[in-house]
Amino acid sequence: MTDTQNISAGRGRIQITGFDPERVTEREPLSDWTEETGTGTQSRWKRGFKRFVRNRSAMIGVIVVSIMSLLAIFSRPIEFFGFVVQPFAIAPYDPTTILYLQDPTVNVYDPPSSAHPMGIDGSGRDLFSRILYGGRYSLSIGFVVVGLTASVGLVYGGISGYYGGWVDELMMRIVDTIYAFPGIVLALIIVAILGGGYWQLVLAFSLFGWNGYARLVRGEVLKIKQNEYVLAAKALGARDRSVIFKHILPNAMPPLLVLASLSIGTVVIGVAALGFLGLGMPPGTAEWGTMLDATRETLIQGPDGQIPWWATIYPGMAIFIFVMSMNMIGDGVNDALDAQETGAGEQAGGV
Amino acid sequence: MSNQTDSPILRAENLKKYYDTSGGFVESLLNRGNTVKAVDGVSLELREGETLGVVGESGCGKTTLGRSLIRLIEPTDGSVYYRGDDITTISKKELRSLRKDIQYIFQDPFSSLNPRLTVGDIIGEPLDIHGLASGQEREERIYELLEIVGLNPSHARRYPHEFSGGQRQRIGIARALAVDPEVIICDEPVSALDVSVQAQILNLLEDLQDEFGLSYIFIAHDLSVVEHISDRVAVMYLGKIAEIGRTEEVFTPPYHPYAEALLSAIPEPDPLWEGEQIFLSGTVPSPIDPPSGCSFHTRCPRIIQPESYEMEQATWRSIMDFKQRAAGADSLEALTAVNTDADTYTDRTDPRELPFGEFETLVRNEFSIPDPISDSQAEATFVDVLETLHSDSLAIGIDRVREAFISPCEEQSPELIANSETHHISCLLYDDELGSDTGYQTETNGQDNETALSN
Ligand code: SF4
Repeated sequence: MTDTQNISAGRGRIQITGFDPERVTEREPLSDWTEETGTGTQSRWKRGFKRFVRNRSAMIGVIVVSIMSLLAIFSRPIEFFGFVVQPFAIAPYDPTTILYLQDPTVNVYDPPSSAHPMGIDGSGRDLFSRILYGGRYSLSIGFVVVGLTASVGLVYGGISGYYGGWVDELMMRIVDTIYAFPGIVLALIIVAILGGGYWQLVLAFSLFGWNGYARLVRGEVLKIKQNEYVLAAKALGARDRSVIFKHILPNAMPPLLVLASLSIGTVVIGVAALGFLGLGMPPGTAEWGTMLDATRETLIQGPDGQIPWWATIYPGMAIFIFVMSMNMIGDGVNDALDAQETGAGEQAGGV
Repeated sequence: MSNQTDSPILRAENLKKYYDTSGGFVESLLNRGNTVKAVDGVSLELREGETLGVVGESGCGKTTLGRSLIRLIEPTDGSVYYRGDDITTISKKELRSLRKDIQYIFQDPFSSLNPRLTVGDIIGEPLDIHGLASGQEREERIYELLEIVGLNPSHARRYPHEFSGGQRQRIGIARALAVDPEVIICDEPVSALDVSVQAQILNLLEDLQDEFGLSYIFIAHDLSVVEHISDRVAVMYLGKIAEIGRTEEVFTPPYHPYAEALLSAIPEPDPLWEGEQIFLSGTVPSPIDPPSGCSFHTRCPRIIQPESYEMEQATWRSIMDFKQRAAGADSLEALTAVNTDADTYTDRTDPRELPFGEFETLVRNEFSIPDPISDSQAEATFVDVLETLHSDSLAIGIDRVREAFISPCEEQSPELIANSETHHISCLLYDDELGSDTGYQTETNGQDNETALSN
């Protein structure tokens, strides 16, 4: 095969004398690692998942969030263009029905009773039904907003970090500018301009909400880009697109997931806060924050000099429990994916 | 095949890679950046079936060279020919298909494998990219490659973190082999590994070369690794080739002074071996502002004396050290004593206030310059320079030093001079015009040098 003309004579396999390779292969094993122990190989995702499942507080969070979501879904039937897709109704009353119109025994601010487990609100509606149904707004806005912002942030940060240079410079200055304003204030301005409503709220939180993800992903990408496997992929002839999607973004996912799971709670609080300020959903909607707003005056003193605590405690509790559970999940994801080193856990928090 | 061996398979011509050091866009707007000449005009040839070792200290540009050769980094200037086609001008598409012919093995076996892919997918990636195999065929090819590099096919479903450094490097080699390349550039493939594993990997590369007729460019930072595996060796210093030739030519005199110093640092497995190691003075200069003339002159033990002087080589080296320190000095103290003992250090007086005799002794001690210097003319100049430094301003003194002692090595850049058809050295000592009278006399009176060189 090789032509001796340009092959040096002094070259060749390195011969080690006084060393018998047979002895090494046949000696006692140094560790108990064998072919078999390693057969069930696990990807990092699988290992992370196992660790997550073992994390008790995270699992409590998952159970609470699942129950709340199920209750919200099955609270009232769901119809699509006249077809009933979900016929169940756990909530005993329609959340918008004013009960004393049909049933004269019911009064405004009736305390909790067996017929109305969480009492009646200021407009004579069943609070229990409203709390269950209200989950639909808060939860879905939370997930939709985080889904949208995280995806936009992933792409934006990915492009900025991968191409670097002027592109990066420009894109990050935009992010910095957005960062200069508190997220909740930006959302407030948008809702003030567009008016309240479900999609307006989604837009309000999504329009600028992606910048935290973008910054996080860009940092991750810059770090991952240093790895030789990215260069190796290029040396193999991979296209930019496949380098980004096969090598860079999957490795940037764990911190992004942590940030996203921690942000859901933040968004829900933001939605509730706007609702409480009377800027979220239209008044009377069974959204938790809006419900709090409707009973705001009862915090001081209700009719008859009595405070109807149930009108504020229950919606407040609902918000608290949901956000708390989401944060427990987020912490669990963080621990499971070793993402604490990335600092993603610290970044979440502020809206 | 026989006629192909005459024309090189890979040939670089005057390859250059300059970096701009400007940090941000504000700096580049103001044009504040400096240029780093990482690779500064390298020409080399690689013949079929051959291994070319590239050696140099870290920071000499050897990795940049390896990467610019296959346009992993875009070269600033120069050309690289693969079988006659200029790689530097081909389109992205052609470049991608060229990746099937020239592959690269990375230094760090830990960061060069994506932790989220299985070994099978890592090795299969080149097959997917170039559509070389799919389905069952792909699977079998992966198993085959794993066996070729000495791993078990059952390893294909594992993740890189389950392997040792040596095994990971084998995975990296299997990945490079997947496309059936002609040339592999090995970028310090063993320097991150245990010594016991290094030999295994080197032997594996050796076996693969025989089996598949590969040609290697083998980058390493020490000559001992390269000695075993290379047919020819190129020694790099500050982005340039200092010496290039067949391995035995590089390992025997005549040497480039830098290669000689590197060689002297290789320990011999001989109990009677007395390390006559040549210590280089100073550190590797920054490639941002490389030294004038021969870039090695700031450290070269053999730096040429001007014709007017005739003294011991070690003394001349000391004087040049003195000159270099003076050029960068911001006070006279930098020239007197750096290693004063603790008590005098506390209330160190301005050297200018010392009597001249004491000042002179301090300087001579600091640079181990004998008193007097054997060459009377040099001695007179030296004392004169010291007096200027002592009585006049520092700036005037420094100018005086700069003019008083000038080596041709500072002013003239050496070309690669042919010692034989295959052996080239870039050093003025071998330049006939200059070197004829200076010659390689240093080689003959080398005995007293070697003891004195290690100042
Ligand atoms: S040219 Fe001068 S300084 Fe450079 S290596 Fe040769 S002798 Fe040394």
